Amino acid sequence: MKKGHFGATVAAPVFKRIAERSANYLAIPSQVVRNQTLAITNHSALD
Amino acid sequence: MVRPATGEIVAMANLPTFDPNNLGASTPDARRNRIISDIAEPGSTFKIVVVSAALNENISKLTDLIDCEHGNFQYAGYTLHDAHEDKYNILSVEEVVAKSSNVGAAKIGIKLGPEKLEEYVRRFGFGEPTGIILPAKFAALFVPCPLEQDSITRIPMGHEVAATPLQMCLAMSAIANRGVLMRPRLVDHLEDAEGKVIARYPPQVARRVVSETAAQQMVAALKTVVSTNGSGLNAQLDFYTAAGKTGTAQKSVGGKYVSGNSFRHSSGSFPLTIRSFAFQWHLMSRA
Repeated sequence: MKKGHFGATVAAPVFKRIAERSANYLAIPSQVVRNQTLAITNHSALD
Repeated sequence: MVRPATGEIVAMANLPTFDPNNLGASTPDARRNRIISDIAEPGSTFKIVVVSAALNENISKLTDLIDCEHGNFQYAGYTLHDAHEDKYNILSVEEVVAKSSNVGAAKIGIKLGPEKLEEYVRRFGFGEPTGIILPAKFAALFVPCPLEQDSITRIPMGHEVAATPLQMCLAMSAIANRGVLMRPRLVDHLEDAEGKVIARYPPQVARRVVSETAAQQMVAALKTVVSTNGSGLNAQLDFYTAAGKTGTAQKSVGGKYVSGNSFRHSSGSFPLTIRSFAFQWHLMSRA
């Protein structure tokens, strides 16, 4: 299987596009500003 | 797209699709809801099952080191390869997830054992109907024990099992929901003509799949996938934290893999807060 067929190459960018547009549509405040993570301070990430 | 805490299906889309006002213009194939009725091997997205199972059983920690045999692992007369060009030597369990090492996942599966592996595959909801209130043809397949000798190295990487995209999304949701698998939920309530609520459909817990601690550790590992050190960097979001896994599997026809026909998956959750969403993207190629 060619490298260009992998999910990481083909499916992952689609996840990014749809997730970011969905977040916009759902008016979810951004968490990351200039590569600095806000509010998320631990690995639990589910608080 | 599912809200993990409640199992709500927020969005579901299929392509090709059809115009319900002009059914005759569409083919039966286009009218099928692939998300609930089509099965495929989930590929590496399935690694969340074996790794979270090992974490839950306390037989592995994220920091444990695994010899990934430079991507060539002999077991039960067969050779298992890592899919990527990088040939890994020693990786931590967290790195096995981040780099998506097949050999690493297989060795975690061997450590877990076939009975426990089967138990967790079923706990995550594979091999049973999801409970969605839509007609679906398949409950998805899972071959019960005793497994073939080399199955213990194949199932951890999402081969020799089959799942619908909804099942895979719900499994990822269970990780994002602190280890609790929810039933899919399509309807919140029904109202009569006067707007009076005549029926409510509250969220339903299917079962606890793994402990909250194991789920949190799995989230930590899945965050590294979507990082500069991980195989899913292309899924990294600009303004939100995310955790996820990508996967690839070849299409099987008549019990044999067909070269050039493949499924590509990505599964993940974002933003990483209690109001997160789980997401499954499934692409089939006939290339």
